[in-house]
Amino acid sequence: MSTMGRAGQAPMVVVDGVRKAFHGVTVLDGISFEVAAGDVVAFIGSSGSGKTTLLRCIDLLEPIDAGRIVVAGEAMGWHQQPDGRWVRDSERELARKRQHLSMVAQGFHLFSHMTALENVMEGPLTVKRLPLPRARQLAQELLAKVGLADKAHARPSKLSGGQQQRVAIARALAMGPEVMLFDEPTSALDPELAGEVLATMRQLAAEGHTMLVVTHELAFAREVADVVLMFHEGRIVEQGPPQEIFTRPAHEATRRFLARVTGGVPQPTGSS
Amino acid sequence: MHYQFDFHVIFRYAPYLLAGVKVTFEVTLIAVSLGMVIGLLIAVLRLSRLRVLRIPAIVYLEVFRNTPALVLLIWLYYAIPIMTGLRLSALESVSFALAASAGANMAEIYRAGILSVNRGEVEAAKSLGLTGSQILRRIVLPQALRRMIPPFTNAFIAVVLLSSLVSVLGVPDLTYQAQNIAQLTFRPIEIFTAVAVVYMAISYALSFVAHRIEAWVSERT
Ligand SMILES: Nc1ncnc2c1ncn2[C@@H]1O[C@H](COP(=O)(O)OP(=O)(O)O)[C@@H](O)[C@H]1O
Ligand SMILES: [Mg+2]
Repeated sequence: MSTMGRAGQAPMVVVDGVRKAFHGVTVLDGISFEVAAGDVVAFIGSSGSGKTTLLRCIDLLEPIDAGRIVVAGEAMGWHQQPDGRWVRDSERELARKRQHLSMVAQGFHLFSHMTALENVMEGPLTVKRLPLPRARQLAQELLAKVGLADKAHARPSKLSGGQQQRVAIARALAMGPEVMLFDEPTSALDPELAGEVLATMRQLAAEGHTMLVVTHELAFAREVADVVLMFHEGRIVEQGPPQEIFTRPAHEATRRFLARVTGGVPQPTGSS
Repeated sequence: MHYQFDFHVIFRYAPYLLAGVKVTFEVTLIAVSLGMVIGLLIAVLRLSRLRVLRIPAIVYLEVFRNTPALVLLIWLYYAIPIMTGLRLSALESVSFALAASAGANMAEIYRAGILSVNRGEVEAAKSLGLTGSQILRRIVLPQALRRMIPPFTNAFIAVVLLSSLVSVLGVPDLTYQAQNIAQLTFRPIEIFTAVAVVYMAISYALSFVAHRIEAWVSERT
């Protein structure tokens, strides 16, 4: 299903029958999809439909109740022992597997006691144990890439929201993840500042990063996403290329969601 | 009022009082530094997701919160050498006992400090692949410690003042020396006035240093 099919390559992300409940309330009700390496997948759906929870489960920040998540060929949260039994990963094992992925969250969450540069260096230094000069050089390059070379020594509190989010993206990139997760990366930003973050994300998509993006930016999804997955009450009710989903939504929930996000104005067809 | 004040006794017995101040310092320093380690340990256990780790920490905190410091001090003074099998001097025993009590106060300070750090930053660190202890060391404690300077200063001062209780167990601290001199000279008012002034001076000095450290830290961030 979805974005498989690049000449028999194993998918980069497999989500298979994932279920999750909080205190008996089902939040993810059997989610399945696959993402090929290099693809950009956009998750849409009204708030409370389980999009954040799914990203957190994929990033091993929440355990799942049932199903299976595989990233870069590794089962997430579990490993098989020599005798064939599957056992839960230890904290250390979870920390290692999280390196396949980097999350960029809605609220940036930069380390407030560190400069922009130190934020970006933290993963390479502490997790990858790169020597200090190498980590610093990498961080400087990444800050330049997101257009913030001149803010290297600024504290997060001295940066605008858009700048903070771009530092967060550089921090995520510094780990060299196989998959990038974005959870509404622009929804806390003014449209102006959102633009600079979206530009950075376009660039990443063009470079071939595998990206799972929760977003309400339909223009962005239309332009960048290979596939759009529509969430409703913990299920994927519809999926397909953005052109199709946005112009000919099949599910009632999708139609209502699109009408709400676009303020009732019909989306222009055709590409950007 | 027929009482004739005679503050000369203070100067005559100054060397004894100074020796007492030295013991007070020793006891306090051992208790505070050990208490900081105990406090961190208890705080981390208290915040653990695992019940088996959390419950002993809660019991520890409840015991110290609900018993008089003097009673605990006396109890620990006798219990610590028996439980650990160590041969301890009186000074060591009371210092460890005070540390155990200071640790309970400090655990609450650590806990509040740790909880004051933005959950989102902790998750961001987790997502980067930092392990639990790396997150504590690199992200949580550097931020928490700054915010903990003022309450830590208060806890430190509390230990200085509580350390006067060790006099009950015959450890020759400032208070103990003062009692002896007062009995010898029949001048308790003069002696204890001087002793109160010394305790106040130590407390104010500590506050002053803490303020300077705080200013220095916030200047650099
Ligand atoms: N840690 C949690 N504990 C309890 N309920 C939660 C928790 N996280 C999310 N939920 C609930 O799960 C549902 C889905 O939330 P979420 O995944 O954030 O949706 P979305 O990102 O699509 O808005 C919501 O009803 C939310 O209240
Ligand atoms: Mg969400």
